[in-house]
Amino acid sequence: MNRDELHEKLTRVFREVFGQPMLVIHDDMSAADVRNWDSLNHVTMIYAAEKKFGIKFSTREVQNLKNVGELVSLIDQKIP
Amino acid sequence: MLFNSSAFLMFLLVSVPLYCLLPLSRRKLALLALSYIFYGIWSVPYLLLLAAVTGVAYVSGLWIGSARTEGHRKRALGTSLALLLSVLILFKYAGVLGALAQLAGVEADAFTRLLVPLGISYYTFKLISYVMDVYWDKIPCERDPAAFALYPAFFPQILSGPIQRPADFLPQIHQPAPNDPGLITSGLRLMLFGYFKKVVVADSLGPFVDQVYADPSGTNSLCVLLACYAYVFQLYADFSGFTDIAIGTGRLFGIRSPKNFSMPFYAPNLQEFWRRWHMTLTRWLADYVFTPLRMTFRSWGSLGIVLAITVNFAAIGLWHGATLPFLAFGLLHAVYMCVSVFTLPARNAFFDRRPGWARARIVWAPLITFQLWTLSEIFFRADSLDQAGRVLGALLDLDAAKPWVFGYGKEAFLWSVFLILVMEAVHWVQSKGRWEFIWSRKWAAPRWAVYYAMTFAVLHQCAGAARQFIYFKF
Repeated sequence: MNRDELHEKLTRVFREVFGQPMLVIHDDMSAADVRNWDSLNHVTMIYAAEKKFGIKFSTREVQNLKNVGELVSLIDQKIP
Repeated sequence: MLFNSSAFLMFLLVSVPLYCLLPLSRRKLALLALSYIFYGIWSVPYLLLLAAVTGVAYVSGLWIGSARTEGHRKRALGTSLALLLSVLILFKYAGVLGALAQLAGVEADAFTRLLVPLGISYYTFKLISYVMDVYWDKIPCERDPAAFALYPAFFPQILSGPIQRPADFLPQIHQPAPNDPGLITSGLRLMLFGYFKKVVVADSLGPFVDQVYADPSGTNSLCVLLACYAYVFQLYADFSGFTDIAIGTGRLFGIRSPKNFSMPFYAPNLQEFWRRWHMTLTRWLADYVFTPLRMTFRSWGSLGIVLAITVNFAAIGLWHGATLPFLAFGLLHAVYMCVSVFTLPARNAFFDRRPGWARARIVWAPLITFQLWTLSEIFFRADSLDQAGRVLGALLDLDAAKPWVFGYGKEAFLWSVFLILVMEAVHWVQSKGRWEFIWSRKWAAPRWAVYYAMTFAVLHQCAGAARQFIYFKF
């Protein structure tokens, strides 16, 4: 799966979790840029991404994510 | 040494000029010495306790940093957390432990006589954040023992925060900035406003609140309602005043500290409220309690969210003290938060479809949030669940014949209301970065008039007995 396909699939996760059907994600995007993306919903999004891509994140990895680009890179490393 | 004591002001009057004269290379040790003197004046044995737990966290950081396997890292983290939390629980909850031991028939006088070390919650939370951040590879382990020892001991923050993170604090120690007159001036300005909030606003509301809480059943219900609101502002002025003094004092020594409050009473919902109230504690709990719990329960659906929220807010309640009213305060917020989290998406969608209503929501959403906060503060202020129940009962007892009470008197009470408005006006000016720039650089005459007025008000109020900061006991 290339990075564009990852972006597309992750966009669907973001739209569903944060309830914004028109949301478009980009690498520099962080929690401050997305309505409803707070510490309460962060893990909900992470879990939805885990299910979507069939992978698992550790708490350390989740704690160190700074933006969407880092999340995409991490998923890219983990998918078989 | 209380922040609102003449001894503290003398301490600053001597130490700040000397510190500013020191070469940058000597400042780290000087600040550590000042911090240990500040704490040691209160208690030398507890200064040794602070040094001991600092040593535990320092060695743990090195251990985690040098561990070759994940198993070793986990063992180092587990040992460190067990030691730090044991010390915190032993001293902070000694009274409860002693009572439990006596219930079990064990003699435990030593427990009940233990004093709670000042600031133990704050410096322990700082040390926990350090070992967790090293374990999560957020920061490298700190090898300089003096710089590390200064992190938990930094005297402006040790008593009641703010809880600054090591990644934010330690670089300021390793690369000390030269004397910055602008930073020192802004620190002095913040300290003056902090003293104004504590000594003038909070302490003038205190007697009124105390009088109503002493006999809520015998007081007019409208007066009880006013006392509930007054306590919200008393606590806010007291704690945010303390924080301003702490942050301002830090600036005198060239250290920038994080914000702890950001206009909480204008928050449109409770999630936002907690992002603006005691911000450094909320973020600490979000990172080190809530998120790990959410990760553990993430496959449990809504139940996982409810569990993580409940544990998090019960911890907030019990952090203030192991009493039933504090637990009730925490659990009430857990209920608030669960309801808010699960209904917010639907509420947002509803108002997105109705722009007219959404505009009105800007006004009434903060008002509702404020009422919910005020209700929870009844439990926070009460000494027992029985007292909280009596206050709630008095609010519903509409017997108009019951008397009003006013603390220092009716005029003094109205004066307090005016002071709250002044406080909120200054908060508003502070929140507008551009306005604060204009206020601090341009308007010299009105600015100095306000400085003199605030100083006079503080000195005038100081003639009475000084009240302790509410958050000292936490």
